[in-house]
Amino acid sequence: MKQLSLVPPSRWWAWAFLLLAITPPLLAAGPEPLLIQSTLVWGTNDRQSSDPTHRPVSPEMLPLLRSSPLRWTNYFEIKHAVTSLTNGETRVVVMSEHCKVEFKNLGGDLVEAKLLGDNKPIGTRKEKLKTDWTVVLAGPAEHDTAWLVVYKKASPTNKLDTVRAP
Amino acid sequence: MKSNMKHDDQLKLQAWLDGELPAREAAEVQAGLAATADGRALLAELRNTTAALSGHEAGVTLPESREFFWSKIERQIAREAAAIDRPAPGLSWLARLRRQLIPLTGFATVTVVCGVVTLHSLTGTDPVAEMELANEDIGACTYHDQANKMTVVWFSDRSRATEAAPDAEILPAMAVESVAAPDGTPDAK
Repeated sequence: MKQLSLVPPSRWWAWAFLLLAITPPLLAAGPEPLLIQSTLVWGTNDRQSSDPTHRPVSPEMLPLLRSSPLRWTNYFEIKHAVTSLTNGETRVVVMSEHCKVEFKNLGGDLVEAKLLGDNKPIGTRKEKLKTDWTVVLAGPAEHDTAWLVVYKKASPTNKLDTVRAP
Repeated sequence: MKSNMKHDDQLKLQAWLDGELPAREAAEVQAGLAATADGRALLAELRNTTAALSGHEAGVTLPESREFFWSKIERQIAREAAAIDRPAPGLSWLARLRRQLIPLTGFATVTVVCGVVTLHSLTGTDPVAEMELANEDIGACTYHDQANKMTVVWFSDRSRATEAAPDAEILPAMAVESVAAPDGTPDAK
């Protein structure tokens, strides 16, 4: 009796190579735009911010920052923004009067973040943003405090291009 | 010839003529059917036919008995059934192994490649992360926290490195290089 098979054994290699050829482009293609949520944070040991427009960071972000090597006990959100970037697109997110971040989608979740202080470049970080991975760009500020730019890949449920600021 | 006999009676009469009936039934046919006019006429016709054929029929002798003939067919069927269950005699064990392994290897290769790609895209840090500083007066140190899925980059000003270095307190887990804010720090306070 002849054995029936959906795909003849002689064709298996052809199917395997076909799958190998089409899988990486399909995975890398990502027609959806890349969403990045960025937050400007002020780190201090003061219990309250002198600026009433500042609000404590989200309950998700606070333990993350407290578990980091940063020594401050309190963190206040100054501005929050969600940015949508299509492949190859560059957008500047104005975090404050003096601080801007220029995000560029290099494709395949590869993101370049250029930090600008008073429109002068400070540093550029380029990496593949993983799901749930947070990047913090930080530096010292006056009176023994610190500024932090916290950004991560946002989920599609986030509202696009939203800005939460005083 | 027109006969009024029933078909069954005709067959019974032919069987009687050929000697195929039991003795009791043969006696009944002889006394009954064979004695009628139609019976006699049919018998005469059958005898004539038999006589005509017996002189010209070629004698055929079977080369083997009926039992032996059927036993040969039975053995042939058994041989063919066994041949289906066995692998083709022309294939070596290596060829048979290869025949089984080719589809399995193809499937395993595709699975591994897809798994690695998916795993790489979902977990871990990117080993090719790059950090570029605007000028040599700016220093930066990077801290990776795999447990909390976080990267912290601390910028500092090398030009003020001679001043007191509170960064050592700020980032005890990091090799802090210098102190002071870069130009244009946000208005945090």
